[in-house]
Amino acid sequence: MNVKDNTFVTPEGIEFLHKTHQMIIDDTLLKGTNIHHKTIDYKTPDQLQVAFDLSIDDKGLDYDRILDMFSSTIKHSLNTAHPRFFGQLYSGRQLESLTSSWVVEALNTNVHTYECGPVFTLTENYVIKKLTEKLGFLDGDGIFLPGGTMCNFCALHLARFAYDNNLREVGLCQSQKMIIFTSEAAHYSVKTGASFLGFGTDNVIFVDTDDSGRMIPRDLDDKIRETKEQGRVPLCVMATAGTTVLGAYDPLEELASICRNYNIWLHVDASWGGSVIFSDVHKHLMRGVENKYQIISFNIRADSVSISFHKLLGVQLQCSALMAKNKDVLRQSNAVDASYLFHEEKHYDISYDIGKKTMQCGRKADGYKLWVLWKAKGNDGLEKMVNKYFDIAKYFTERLAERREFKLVAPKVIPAIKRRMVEAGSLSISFQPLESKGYVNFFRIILNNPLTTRRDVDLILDEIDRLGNNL
Amino acid sequence: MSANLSDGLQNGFSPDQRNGTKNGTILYNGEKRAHFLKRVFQIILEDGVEKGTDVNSKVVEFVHPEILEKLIDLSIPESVTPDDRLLELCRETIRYSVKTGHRRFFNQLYSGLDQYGLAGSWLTDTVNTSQYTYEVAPVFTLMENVVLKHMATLAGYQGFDGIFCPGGSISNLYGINLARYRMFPEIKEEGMHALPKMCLFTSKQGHYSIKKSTALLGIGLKYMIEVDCDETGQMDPVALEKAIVKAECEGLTPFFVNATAGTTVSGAYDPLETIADVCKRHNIWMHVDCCWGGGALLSRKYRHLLKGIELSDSMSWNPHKMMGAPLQCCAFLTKHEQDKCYDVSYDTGDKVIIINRLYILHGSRKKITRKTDKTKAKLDKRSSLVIPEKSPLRNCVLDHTSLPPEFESRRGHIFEGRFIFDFASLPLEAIQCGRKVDVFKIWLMWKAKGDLGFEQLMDNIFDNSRYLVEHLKITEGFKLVFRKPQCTNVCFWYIPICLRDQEETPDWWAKLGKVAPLIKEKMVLKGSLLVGYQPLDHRVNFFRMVISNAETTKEDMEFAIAEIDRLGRDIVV
Repeated sequence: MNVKDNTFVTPEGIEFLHKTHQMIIDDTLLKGTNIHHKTIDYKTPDQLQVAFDLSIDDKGLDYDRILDMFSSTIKHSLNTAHPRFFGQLYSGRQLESLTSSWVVEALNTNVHTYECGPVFTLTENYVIKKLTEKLGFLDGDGIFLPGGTMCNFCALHLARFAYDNNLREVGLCQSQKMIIFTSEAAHYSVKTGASFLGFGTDNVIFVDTDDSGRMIPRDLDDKIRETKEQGRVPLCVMATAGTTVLGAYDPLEELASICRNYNIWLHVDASWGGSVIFSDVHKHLMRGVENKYQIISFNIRADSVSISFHKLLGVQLQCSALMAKNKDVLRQSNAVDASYLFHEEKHYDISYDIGKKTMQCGRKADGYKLWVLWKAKGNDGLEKMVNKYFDIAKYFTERLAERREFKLVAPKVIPAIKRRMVEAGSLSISFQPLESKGYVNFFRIILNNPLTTRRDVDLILDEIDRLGNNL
Repeated sequence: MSANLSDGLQNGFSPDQRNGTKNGTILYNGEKRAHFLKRVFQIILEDGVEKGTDVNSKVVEFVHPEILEKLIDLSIPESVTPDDRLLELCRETIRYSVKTGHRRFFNQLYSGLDQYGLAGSWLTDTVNTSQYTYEVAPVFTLMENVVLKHMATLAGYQGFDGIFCPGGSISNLYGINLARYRMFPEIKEEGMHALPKMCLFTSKQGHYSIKKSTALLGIGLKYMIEVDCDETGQMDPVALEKAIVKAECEGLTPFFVNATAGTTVSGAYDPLETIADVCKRHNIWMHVDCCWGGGALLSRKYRHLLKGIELSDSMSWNPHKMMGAPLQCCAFLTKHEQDKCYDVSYDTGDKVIIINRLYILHGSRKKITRKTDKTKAKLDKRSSLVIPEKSPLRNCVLDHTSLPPEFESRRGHIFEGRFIFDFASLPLEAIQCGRKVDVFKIWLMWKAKGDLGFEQLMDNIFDNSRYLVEHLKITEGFKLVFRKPQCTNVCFWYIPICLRDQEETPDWWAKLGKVAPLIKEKMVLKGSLLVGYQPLDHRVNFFRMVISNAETTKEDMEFAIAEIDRLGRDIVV
């Protein structure tokens, strides 16, 4: 019997996969990154619902109709790989990571046990080991989780467990008030986490930031002291390395000293900015100190750190990891018995079953994508990538300083330019106000696309000027 | 600064290669990059898709972890790895991975390889956007609405809101959080410190994610009360009601019941209608975890298993399980209709569900003294009328007076008359910020197959499992754990020749418990079949064969039985 006859993927099915693949290369990778094409063919929700047949019916469709669907899906989606896409903290396309995600999808398995994902559990273990080494957690552990928010949740969970592991059993009802400290520039997931985990958003205390958006250590110290005086428990500090809007790195060294002083958990949400650990030039940012001297042994003085590799490094969404300095805390705080997955009588070493470390059950093989990218580029490649983004950002800042029209804009002007920009499809940049600093709406440009060049950066300025100068 | 711009990315599609572009298109380092993509695709297609689903190839090529660590060169090099080496690594990855799309893979609750699903997830990964605003994911945002609505309709929810989650565990987490918020809206701002102890219920065979969520949410594992099941694994509603009453008597506030439609091991469907009655009587949020068994909703022949699901408050349903969508594809749904309370209603990232539903909450004859003014004001405003509720068990509660003093006020209004509160502002906030697009693949599969196509697949899965059960009954050496499985999990012991025709003493059972692990090891090493095993309560290790691959046939069932017999008949324990 012919091999093909035995597969239940039919010859037509294989051909369909081929055509899909061709379309992916042609439409999203080639056309999608063509600077002459739009970043998006924008339609309003109402228009799009008319232009696109969303309905699900009793009867199905044939392959050709499905391919048409693909074509229009791509057409109406935002081209996040476009060199002029600066809208979000993720952008660009790393081919090695893209292909690895295709492999993951085709193998379609979970990484809770070695039994189900032998290669994926090993690569995840390996990558986690490398990452903990990079952070200077000599005896640490970590886990990939679906997104930076889940990492922050898990960090709060760890902090609580480390404070009193009995709380896992008895819960928070009738317990002492526990306080979480974070900066006003921190990601909103800290608040969401406080609400979900039962602390309450009122018990998140916001520490002041300086002009560049960094947490002020003195203020933290004062607020912790105040909290203690009021008889409440300071539980943890959620510091940020790379804030969402301003991209500020909290001064970690100083915060770490304070946390050690009061013996409280320090988590660093480095979702956005954490990828600097790959660069010898920029990794000092993570410590929040000036790079005055050559760093010989680099280590982060935190209890846990989370990094999202789908952001700066451009790994396919989702790829976030939480690393803890203490090797056992992840397993201890999350493990519950599930005899159908984690029984003792297995014929292999069950320490490779990593599912006990997470609050999830089934989990996608996100770590594999980072492993492939890292393997492909090597340490050098990742370092160059990170350095390049910082270079362009520096260049952009210099150019911006030279052009007078880009200093202060009225609050209404920005949304208007944004609207024109989306309609023209030439650029994709987001904007927001920052009330705590008294800033009105301003543009935020994120530079993390491997295709972006200095020329693109010049174009941004010209284009915003063109769209906005007659307002 | 050592690196400068022109260095670009050595191996990536460096901007400076734009000289070689046609009409501004960046050719990924010319032909080389396009060629790389094609070759990876070819490997995936040949090794992963074609060979991986071929019955003549192995389900798994098992190697022990310590050895596999050496077989695959895991190390990260200082500089770039050449493309040829990367392609080799892709091949090795596929080679040593478990072929979950293989028709002899019965190990987990997911299986199969659907070409639409696969194509859809490839496209999703290539488009690589995040599901949080219409701005960045216009098409996918609309699709999410359509698919969730379709699923809600199938479940019989009139109104609905929902969200796709990274895994059923997270869906269940959403359910518990919403229920807790309904009972104590002040939790969001004030936390749990000032609240009375609350508790939730799930069956002994419910999924362990409820346990993990209970710990994560700060409720405390102690307050997750496990309800007994009957012999088939279904939750016993009488035991549930007793447990609720007992908890109330102990001064706890019950707020959440998790019913399971398709338990992980035995595949039992809890009696949803009866459980809904109990929940209504005690005013408790009812969540249905039909992550696994929800697929039956697509089949007119089998949807009766989920009768009563329309009465629940929320549910979680994973199309990546029975419906065969690629991992992860998990929907959380609540029937409480969304009231678009903010302008940007298409932005799902900060999704807020406002629930407008008349909620029956227990009221008090005496004045409600709440610790929070905010909530009190809400309660006072909305309390309108008293409805008498008759439950034989209520009297026992009412007679109970020895409550801890600090809960007097709270308990008072739970024990005595009842008020109707219109509870508004129940927010379902996406707990994620960025969210992977999980909807496209399932939308595409649904579009391709239609409801009728899916119905056929579900019927096929269920029919095969029924066939397997009948076949096991008449085959020597097999003993069913559950005589009449409800879902498509078929659990059985295999009795090797050395244990046949003997009295079933405790010693005999202990020996039988050693059989499954031994067969499993042989099975894995041979790679011909993959079926999981586990113990359950007092039952010793038994096989759980999960039928979730829509393309398996009766012949595959026969093969599995014959293969286990081949591997196990001569085992001596």
